[in-house]
Amino acid sequence: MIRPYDPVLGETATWDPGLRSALLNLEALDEWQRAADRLLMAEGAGHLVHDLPVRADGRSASLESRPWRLDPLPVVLDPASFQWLSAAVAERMEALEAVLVDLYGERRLVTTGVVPSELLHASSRYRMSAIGMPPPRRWLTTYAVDVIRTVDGSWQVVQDLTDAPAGLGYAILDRSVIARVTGEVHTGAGVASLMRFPDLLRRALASLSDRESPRTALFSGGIDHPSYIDHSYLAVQLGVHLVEGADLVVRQRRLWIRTLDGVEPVDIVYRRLEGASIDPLEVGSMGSAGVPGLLLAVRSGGVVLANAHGSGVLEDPSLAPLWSEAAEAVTGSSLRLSSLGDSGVDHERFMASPVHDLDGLGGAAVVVRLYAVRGADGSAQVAVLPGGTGRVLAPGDDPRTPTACVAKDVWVIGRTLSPVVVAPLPQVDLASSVPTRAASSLYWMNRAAERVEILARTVRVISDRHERDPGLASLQGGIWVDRVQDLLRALRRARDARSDLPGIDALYDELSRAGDAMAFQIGSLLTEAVSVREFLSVTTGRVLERIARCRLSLQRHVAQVDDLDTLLSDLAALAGLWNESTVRGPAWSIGDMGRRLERASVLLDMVAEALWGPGDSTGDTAGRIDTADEVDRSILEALLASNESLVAYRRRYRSDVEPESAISLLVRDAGNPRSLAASLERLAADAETSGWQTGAMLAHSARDALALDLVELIPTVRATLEEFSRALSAHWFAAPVSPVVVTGSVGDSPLAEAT
Amino acid sequence: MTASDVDSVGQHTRYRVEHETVYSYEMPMVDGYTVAHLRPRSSATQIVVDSRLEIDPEPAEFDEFTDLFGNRVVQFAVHRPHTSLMVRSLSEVDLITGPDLDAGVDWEQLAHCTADLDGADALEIGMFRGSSQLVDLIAHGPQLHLLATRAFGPGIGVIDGARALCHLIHTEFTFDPAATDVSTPLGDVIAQRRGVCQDFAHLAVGCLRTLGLPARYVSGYLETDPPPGQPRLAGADMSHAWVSVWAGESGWVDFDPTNDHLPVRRHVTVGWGRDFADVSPVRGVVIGPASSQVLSVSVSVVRV
Repeated sequence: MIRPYDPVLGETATWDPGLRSALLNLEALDEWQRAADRLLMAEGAGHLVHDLPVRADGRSASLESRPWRLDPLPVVLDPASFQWLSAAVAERMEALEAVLVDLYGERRLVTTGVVPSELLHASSRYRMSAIGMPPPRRWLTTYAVDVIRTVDGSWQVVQDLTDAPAGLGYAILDRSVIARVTGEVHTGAGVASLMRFPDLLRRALASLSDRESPRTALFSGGIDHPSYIDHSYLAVQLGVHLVEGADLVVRQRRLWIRTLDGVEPVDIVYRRLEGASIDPLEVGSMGSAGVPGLLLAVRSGGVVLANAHGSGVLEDPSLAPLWSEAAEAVTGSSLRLSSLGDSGVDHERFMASPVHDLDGLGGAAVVVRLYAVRGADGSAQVAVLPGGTGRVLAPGDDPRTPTACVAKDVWVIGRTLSPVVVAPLPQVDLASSVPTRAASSLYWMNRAAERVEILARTVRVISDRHERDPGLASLQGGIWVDRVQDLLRALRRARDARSDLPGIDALYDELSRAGDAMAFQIGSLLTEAVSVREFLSVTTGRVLERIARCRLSLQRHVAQVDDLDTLLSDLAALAGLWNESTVRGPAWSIGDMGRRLERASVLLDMVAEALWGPGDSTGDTAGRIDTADEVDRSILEALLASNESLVAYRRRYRSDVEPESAISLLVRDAGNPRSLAASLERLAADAETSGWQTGAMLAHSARDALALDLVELIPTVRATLEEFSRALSAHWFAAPVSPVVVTGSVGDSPLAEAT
Repeated sequence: MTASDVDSVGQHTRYRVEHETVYSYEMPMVDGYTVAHLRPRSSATQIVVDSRLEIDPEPAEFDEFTDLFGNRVVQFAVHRPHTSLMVRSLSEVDLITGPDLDAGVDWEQLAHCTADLDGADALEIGMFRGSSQLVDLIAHGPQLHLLATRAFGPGIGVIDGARALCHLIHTEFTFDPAATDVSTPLGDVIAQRRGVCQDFAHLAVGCLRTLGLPARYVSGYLETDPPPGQPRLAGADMSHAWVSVWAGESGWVDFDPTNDHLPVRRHVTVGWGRDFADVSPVRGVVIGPASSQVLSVSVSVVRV
C-alpha cells in the first residue's frame, strides 16, 4: 500500500549522511520495530485498551481507539527547517489568538464582512454562550498544527487544532520509546530534547490564574475517549490530576474535585474534551460527558479553562478557509504558512518519507503535527515543541484524517538543550488526594484480579489432577465430574444451565466456560487498570500487557496448564507490585480491601460448595465429605490447592487430608495468609488505617463469627461481608451515577385551532 | 369572536400566562441542574408587566442572565435528593395590536440585500440566515427550497410570500402530536408531512433561509378558544412556536404556520433564536440512579 521509496527525491536527501546510514539499516529497523511494539504495549498505547468488555460495576467501555504502530524511523528536521517552522507556528498561534478575541468580542470580522455571519452562526463550534463572557486571559494556551511538506520542500498547513489539541502526550511517549530502542543512534544525532516542554505547559497553565499555587486538573473524557492514553500519559508528565466528568462537581460557582478526603477546589482545567461536550447544560451541547454548570463557574470566574471555551470554532472545516484572510485583517500582516485547502488527496505533490514496514522500506507522505504553548513564565511568548508527531498517509487519505495508523517520532537536529533522560517513573504516591472514581477503579481492579487468580488456580488444579489421574473421571458413575463442575460453577457464580454433555465432555465444557469467566474477569481488571493508569508503575503496565495477551487464549478454550502457570505468575507479579511498589494511603487501603473481600467471599463459596453441594447449606459440619472416598478426598485437596494451602496442610499434619483440619486451616487459621481469618484481619486493619469506623466494626464482627459452628459461620460471615461491600461503596464511592440529560415540553404542543 | 373583531391598532390586551412543568422520577435524584427559557421578554409588540418563577424543591443555587439573543435565561440547581421537580412560570403581558400588513418589499431584492449585510445588521440579522443545529440547509436544502418557491413566486412581496408559505404549510401538513417528538429531525417531518408547531416552525424557517431570507424561531404561548359549547379549562393550553421573517423596512414580522396566522395577534412571546435548541423552555441534567421519569406540562393563557 506504500509506494517504493526514492532516496533521491525523498526526505532523507536532506539528512546528514552518517545519520542516514545509521537509520536506514533494515536489520536494525526490524529489531527496533519489535522493541518499540513491546514498549508501547506496556504503556497501553497499542492494543491493550482494545476490545475490553463491560466493567466490573456494570459501566460499559466502548473503546474506539484503533491500534497503531510507531515507525522506528523518525521524521528528521534540520535546524534551519525547524527554525523557520517554529517562527511560522508562533506567528500563526498569535494571529489565531487575535482572531478569537475578535470573534467572541467586537466581532469586527463579521461586521466588515470578512467572515460571513450566516456561515459563522451556522457552525456548531462557534459557542454562542462564549460571546459576552468575561474575556479570558488567553484563548489559546495550547495549539497544534498539522503541516505537510511538498516536493519542493515548502510546508503547508493541513489543519489548525485549537480546541483541545491531541497528541502532546503521544509525542513525549513516542520519544521515550524511540530514544530507548534506537539507543546510540539517537544519542549521537544531537536531537533536541522534549524534557523541558511539560514544564513550560505547566507554567503556562498556572499563569491563567491569579491564585498563588493554583490547582490544575487535566479533564479527560475517560477511558472511552479515543485519546485517553495521550491524556493519562501527559497527566503523569505534568504531575496533575487526571479527572473525568464524574470526578468533578460545580457548587457555588466553583469547580470541585471529589476525592477520598472530600471535595477540593480546582482552579484551572486543562480540558481535553471538545468544547461542545464540557457542560451538558449549555445550549447545543452534545452528550453527557461534561460537568453540569461548568460554564456558569467559568463565567463567574470560579475556574479557568485552557483552552478557553469556544476556541474550537477555528477547527470548523467550513470556516477554515477564512482564517488566513481573517488573520491578516486583525494583525495587518499575512501568514508565512499557507493552507493546503481541500486539494490534499493528490499525494504526488507531497515529499515522501521513508516508512519501515514488513517488506522493508517504502515511501509515503507524512503529516507532521507541531505543538505550541503560549504564556509560560507569564509572558505572551510562544514556545514550540522541538519535536512532534508524524502520521503516515495511506494512498488516497485526506491528510486531515490519516487511516494508516502508523505514527512517527519527529527529531529536530541541532538543539541539544539537555540530555534526554529515559527513566521509568518512580512509584506513585497514593497518600495524596485521590479522586473517588480512581479509588473505585483500584477497588474493582483488585477484586477482579483476586477472582481471576483463584479461578485460574482452581482450573489448573483440576486439569492437572485429571491429566495425572484420568481414571478418576469414570469412578462411581462420573461423580467426580459432577462435583468438580459444581465447584467451578460456584466459583464463577454461574447462572447458566449445567452442561448436558455426556461423561468427560461435561468437564471440558465446564473448563471452557471457566476460561470464558477468566477472560471476562481479566477484561474487567484491564479496563479498571487502564482507567487509573497514572497510579500504576511502568512495570505494572508490562505485567498487564502480558495478562492481556493471555486473555485471548482463554476465551472458549480449555486452558493449558502451562498457560495457566504463566497467568498465575503474572497475577502474582501484579499482586507483588501492588504490595511493594505502591505507597500506602487511603486509595491503597481501598484497593486492598477489594482484594481481601473477594478472597474471603470466594473462600466461603468454595467451602460451602465442597461441604454441602449447590444450594444446600443446612447440612451438618462434617458435610458430605467422606475421607474414605477418593472423590471426596480429591475435592478437599482441590479446595486446599486452589487456596494455596495444600503444601501448608501437608507440612503441618503430615497426613492424608481430613475435613476438619483442612477446613480449620482454610477458615480459622489466621497464620495462613489465604485463610478467611487472615483476610478478615486485613479487612479490619485496612478499614482502621483509612479511618473508616463502620468498615472496621463490620470486619471485627465477621471475625468474631469465626468462633461459630461452620453451619452458622458461613451464612453469618457471608451476610456481614455483603453488608461490608455495600457500606464500602456507599461510604467511599457515593459519587453520582452517570448524568442523564432531560429535555422537552414544546414537542407535544397541540393544535391551537384558529377561529 | 376573533381577535381582529375587538382589537384596534395600538390597543393593549393583557394576558396572564401560567406554565407549569413537572418532572417525576421513579427513584430519588441526588442532584439536578436546570436551564429554562420561561420568562417572557419585552419587545415592540409586547410589554412584560410581571414575571415570577416558582420552583419546588427550593433550589440551592439560582442564576439569571440574558443570552446573546436578548432572551431571559434562568439556571438553577437542586442538590438534595428529590423525586420530582416543579417549575412554574407566572407572567402578565400586554400585547400591543399592530397594524395590518401590506405585501412587503419584493422578496428577491430583500434576499439580495441581506446577502451582504454589514455593521450591526450582519450580526443581528445575518445570524438568522444560515443553517442551524436543527435546521440543516445542506441536508434538506433542495426539499425546503422546492416548498419555498411554491409560495414565493417572482415579484412577490416578502410578507405576501410569508402569508402564502404559512397557508401552504397549514394545508399540506397534518398536525399530529403522535408523529414526532422533540428530537425528530426535519427530514422526517418533510417526508411524513406531519408534525407539531415546533416542526412547522422549523420547516418555515428552513424554507425562508433557503431563499436567502433571515428567519427566527419564536417560542411562546397562544391564547386558544375552547371547543364549541365547552367552558375554558385551565391548563389546557400549550406552549407554542412560530416564525419571524425579516421584512426589511417592516422589521421582523411574525407568522404562525401551524394555525395559518399572519399577522399574529394572540401570541405571547417568550424568546427567539435560530431554532428550538436556542430557546427550549426547560432542559436539564439529573444525577441519580437509572430510573424512569415522567414529564407533565400544563399551560393556561387567559385574557384579563
